[in-house]
Amino acid sequence: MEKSENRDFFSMDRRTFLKVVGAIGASAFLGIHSSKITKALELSKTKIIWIHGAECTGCSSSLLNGGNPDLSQAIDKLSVDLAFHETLLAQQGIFVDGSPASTSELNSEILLDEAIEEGNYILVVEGSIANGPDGSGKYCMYGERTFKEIFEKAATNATAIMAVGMCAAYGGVNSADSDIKDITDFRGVAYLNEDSSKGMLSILGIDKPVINIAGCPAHPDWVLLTLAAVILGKIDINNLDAVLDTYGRPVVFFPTDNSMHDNCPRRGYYDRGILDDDLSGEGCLLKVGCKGPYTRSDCGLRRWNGSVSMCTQAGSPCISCCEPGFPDVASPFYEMIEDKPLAYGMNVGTMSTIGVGVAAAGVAAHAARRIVFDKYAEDRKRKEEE
Amino acid sequence: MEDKKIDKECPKLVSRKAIKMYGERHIERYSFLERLAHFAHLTALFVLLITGFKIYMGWEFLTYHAALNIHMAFAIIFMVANWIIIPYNIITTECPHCEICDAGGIRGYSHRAMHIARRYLFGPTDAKRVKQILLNYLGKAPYPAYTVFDVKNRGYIDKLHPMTKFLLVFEGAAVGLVFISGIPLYHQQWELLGIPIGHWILLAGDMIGPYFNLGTLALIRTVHLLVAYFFIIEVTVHVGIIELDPKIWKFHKAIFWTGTSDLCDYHYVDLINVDDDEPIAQKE
Repeated sequence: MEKSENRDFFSMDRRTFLKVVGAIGASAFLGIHSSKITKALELSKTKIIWIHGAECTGCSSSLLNGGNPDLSQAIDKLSVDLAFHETLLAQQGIFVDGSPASTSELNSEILLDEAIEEGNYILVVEGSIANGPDGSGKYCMYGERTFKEIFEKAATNATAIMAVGMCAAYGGVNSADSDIKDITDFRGVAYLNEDSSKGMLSILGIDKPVINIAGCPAHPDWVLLTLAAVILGKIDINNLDAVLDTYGRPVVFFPTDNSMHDNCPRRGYYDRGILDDDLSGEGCLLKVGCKGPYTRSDCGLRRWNGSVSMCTQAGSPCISCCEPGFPDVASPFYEMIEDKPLAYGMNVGTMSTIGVGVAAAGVAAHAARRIVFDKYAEDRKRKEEE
Repeated sequence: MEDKKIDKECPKLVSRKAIKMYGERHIERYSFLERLAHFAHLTALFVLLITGFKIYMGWEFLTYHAALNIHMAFAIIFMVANWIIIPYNIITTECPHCEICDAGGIRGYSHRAMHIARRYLFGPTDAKRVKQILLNYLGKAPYPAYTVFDVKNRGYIDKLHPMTKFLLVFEGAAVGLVFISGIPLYHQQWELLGIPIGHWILLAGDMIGPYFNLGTLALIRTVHLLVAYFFIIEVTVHVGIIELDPKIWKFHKAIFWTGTSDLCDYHYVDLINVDDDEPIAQKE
């Protein structure tokens, strides 16, 4: 523990980082370094603008549940200028005859505009961005303005963008398959599901460094540690490829060489072949639809709610909420991924059953023809010869 | 004495002629390496299927780690058999010693390659044989001979059942797929001599997965499972349909033990170029 206190954890490689966290526990680790993280936020003069699109504010709620540091701890001492966060600020949007009224001290719309005009900020986006109907973005309005318009303005002047949560990063539930999906046309900041060519930035023709903090919701550590690393310059925003995976997620939280399943608290049961058939047992949840083996996240190491629990620990299968394409790629949540229809409404099991069935029928027909009827024919031939 | 025995045991004139011409009654059908490759392939496949389904289904007869270790060891045996021994056997297989092949040079090697291709790849002759097999099921045609041995030039023209040849292409593709999908399941960032093969496979999965509404790792696991089921179907067809015939149990004996074929056993065998003057083709 002392050794880790004397080390700059931002300079550790991922393996060492995970070793240290695993050895002393994520909670203790963050406890040790909480002052550093807070200090990182204190020392910096970086301005942050946090805007909300189509979302449930679950990621902000998750952020408020952060323990080490918690958000208020950081904000109390904040010389980081959290210029705008719609859920936390006191101002409201006030419109008179369709135009923002009063000043930025009272009117959040004016506050946002002024903050954007000043520039030099990190833009945090929570929620997806409506592009529909017909590219107008009118399915997500702020007063008289579309969120698409606000995002375009904010993204243009931003130094870097952090897309927090699945909605902002990949479209999330807003982009899930539905009858209205094409009409509403919600997009992530830089991606639409797995496709990096269909993000809102591509539509708007804006080129900015983007970090995707996946998760539904995003873990507070993922958000705050990434933010602190960016502010401290531990993450070079001009060389993000070195720290992000192919979907723009920080590899330290979303490792590319293992899955959630590898660090799951129920992993031992899987190893021993104890797989539950319902949700009430203590065994591995693979057969009730756990998507842990397909999910890249450090949930198993980091845990949630102050590092005391996580989905599978609480008895729920992992729903792969960190993977691009969520929720469609993980649906149905409570069925094995192999039970999902692949083609013509058939899953692997059905295809295989048909294949084996046809082959077995062929075997039976062949055996009857070659062994029974051939023998009968030979016997008849022999009798005729006699 | 020996001639009398052969005359008694060989009901077909062409067989007797062939034995006299060839000088031996038994000809090599499968070399030791061919038998070894087949046995290694078979054993490895069964072990891989059993341990693989243990890992997937969570069967209780082995621990996960034991199953994984056995699975990985036999995966290596499987790949060595399929990608080293079998290609070596194919390249070095004994072909008829025809004049063009014996002449050597580019033409000679090309001709030899044609011999090999005909022996292992499904072609027009095989399509005709399949048609005849189907007619045979209806009692409207004799079962075709699919093993063709050139007695004069001392080599097989054809050896395999047409359906075996048909399955070989899919089997080859399945072996490739199971290997490719197995790499990231073993280690997502697996490298060979610094080449990030695991990473490349994941990138390919990133591109293909969305077409099936699956994440990358889910796609890779699904493909691996699908190929496992393919092998079960293939084995069922191979053993149950093609090989389940008392008349070809001689080939079972040859592939697993003796490696030889009896020229007196005429079932499904054509002996050609038996006479210098007049080639004799014989069907059952």
